[in-house]
Amino acid sequence: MIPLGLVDEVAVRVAAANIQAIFDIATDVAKPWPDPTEALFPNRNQYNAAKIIKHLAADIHAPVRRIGIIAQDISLPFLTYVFGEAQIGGRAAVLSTYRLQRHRDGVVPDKSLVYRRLSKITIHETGHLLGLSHCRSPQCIMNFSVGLDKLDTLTPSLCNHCKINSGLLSG
Amino acid sequence: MNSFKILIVDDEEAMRESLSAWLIREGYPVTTAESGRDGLDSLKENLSELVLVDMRMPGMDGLELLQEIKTAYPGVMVVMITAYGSIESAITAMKQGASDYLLKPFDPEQLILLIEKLAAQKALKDENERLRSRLSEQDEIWMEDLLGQSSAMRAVFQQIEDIAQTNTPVFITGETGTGKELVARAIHSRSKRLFSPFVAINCGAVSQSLLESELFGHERGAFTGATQVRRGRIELANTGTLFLDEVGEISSQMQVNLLRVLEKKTFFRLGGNQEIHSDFRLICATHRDIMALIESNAFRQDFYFRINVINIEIPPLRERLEDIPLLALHFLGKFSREMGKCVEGLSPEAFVLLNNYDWPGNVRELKNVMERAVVLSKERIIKEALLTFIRPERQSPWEETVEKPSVRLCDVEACHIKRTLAACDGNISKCAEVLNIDRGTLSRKIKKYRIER
Repeated sequence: MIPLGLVDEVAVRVAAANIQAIFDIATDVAKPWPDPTEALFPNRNQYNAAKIIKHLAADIHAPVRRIGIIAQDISLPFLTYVFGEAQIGGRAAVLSTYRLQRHRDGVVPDKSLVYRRLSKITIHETGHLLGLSHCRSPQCIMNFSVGLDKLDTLTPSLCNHCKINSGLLSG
Repeated sequence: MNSFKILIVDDEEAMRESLSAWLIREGYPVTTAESGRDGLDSLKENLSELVLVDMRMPGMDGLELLQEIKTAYPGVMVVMITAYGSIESAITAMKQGASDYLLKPFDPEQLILLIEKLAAQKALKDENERLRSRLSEQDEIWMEDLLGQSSAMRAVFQQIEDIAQTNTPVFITGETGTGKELVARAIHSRSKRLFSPFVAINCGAVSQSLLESELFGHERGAFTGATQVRRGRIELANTGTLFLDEVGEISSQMQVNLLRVLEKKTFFRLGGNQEIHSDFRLICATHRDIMALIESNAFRQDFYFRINVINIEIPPLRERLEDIPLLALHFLGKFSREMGKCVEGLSPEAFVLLNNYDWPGNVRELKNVMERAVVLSKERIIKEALLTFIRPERQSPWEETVEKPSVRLCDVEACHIKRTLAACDGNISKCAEVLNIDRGTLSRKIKKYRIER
């Protein structure tokens, strides 16, 4: 787990703890990397998640995986925003806390809700790193694709099908 | 994995990669192409259901690619991806057949909803096509009893093919059991109205007052018992085919009403004051001698001219003897399969018996005979003994009688009265009217010649 620039330390620990707890994968929190300004979109106050992932994955050797966590807003060239982005079955992913703590109507949610949301996003993107695609099971965290409203309805866990596919359960 | 395949055509590598990765995670099979030409090659190799096309590309631009796709693969859906400021070209694309457009960058919710909507549309279209093909299969089942290799039946089949695509009214004549409704259904199933309703009504099977309500429908309270609004057969046949079987039984008043509908294609429900439009093709049928009915003023000539634009005469079975073995074996096979019995054929003597029979009930009677034979058969071959319940009729049709040079006048008269009486359904008054003789005279002749009514 790598903080990119200045990130809430508790948020980083929450994300790392969830990976350890749900997937039983030893997770270290690394020293922060500098703010990836080279990934900023021109004319958009957002970072290109695809570029950050490429940067994170550049010199990884198996079996290490890197998950970057950033406080700024991230997106993809064609989208207005993403909460996170990951290579399916790959080595790198990135999470943003930016939209988890800001509602469209300007209301600021309490910290515990923000951390609950971050836990879910972390599990979801880690699931992608372990090869999972989106899931049709309505309560599975891999069912999530867009929207805070939808995210808030899900529990931070995988369905049995996704557990088997990610190696958590033997088929 | 979803079966809704998506092709992304974009010259920007970053865009192709990130969009395809995102859609793959959503569970869609994705291929990418970096130019319009590559996109077309990709479609040729592996047809996608949806193509996401970047509007601005070097070489073949998005609009050109859209046109090429819509020409070569009209069923493939295309969504244009465009930047703010080029919304005009996105609207042009919509006019040229694009399913939708997306303005870059777009909300993830918007992309998901759009693709889910298009996938649902595709599924609905596929379902529709499956139902249509099942409908066609159903028609094939209907049509399989309409068989014949005789020149008379081949002429009927040719006539069906020739007229099916037109909207011209068809008048089908033929004896009971010759398959008039099958011919009407064959015309409908080969017409452009195939997927619209085929609405049939037997005008002889309902009373005239009920027939009026059946055909025109009624408003609530139009008569005692009309507690609900009811759409009539004419209204139900809108965009389809209306088949009036036994049209010779319709009263003169009803003929006038129908004539008005046929001319204006509009009508009123009983008790209604709102004019209703119905676009239907009319097919009528009768086993009666309609010319005799016209002569006796039982059928209106103007109505007859309106419905009899094209006449199809179905020959009786006895006039197409070569079709009897074909039909017999067809029904035998059909009923054997249905009943799970192993009946393979008929003995030569049984064929002779079938060929010598007069078949007054025509194909319907043959069908029933074969069904009974299959039910009763305990052997693989149906023998003559199983068919003894059909007895050759006395060979005395009127035409044969009058053609004989030495025939007696009284035989011709008896035969003619018998035939006319049958055409008038045994109604002596009507028959006397047709023959232009006094009712009492006719009664005496019927008694004299011992003609059964």
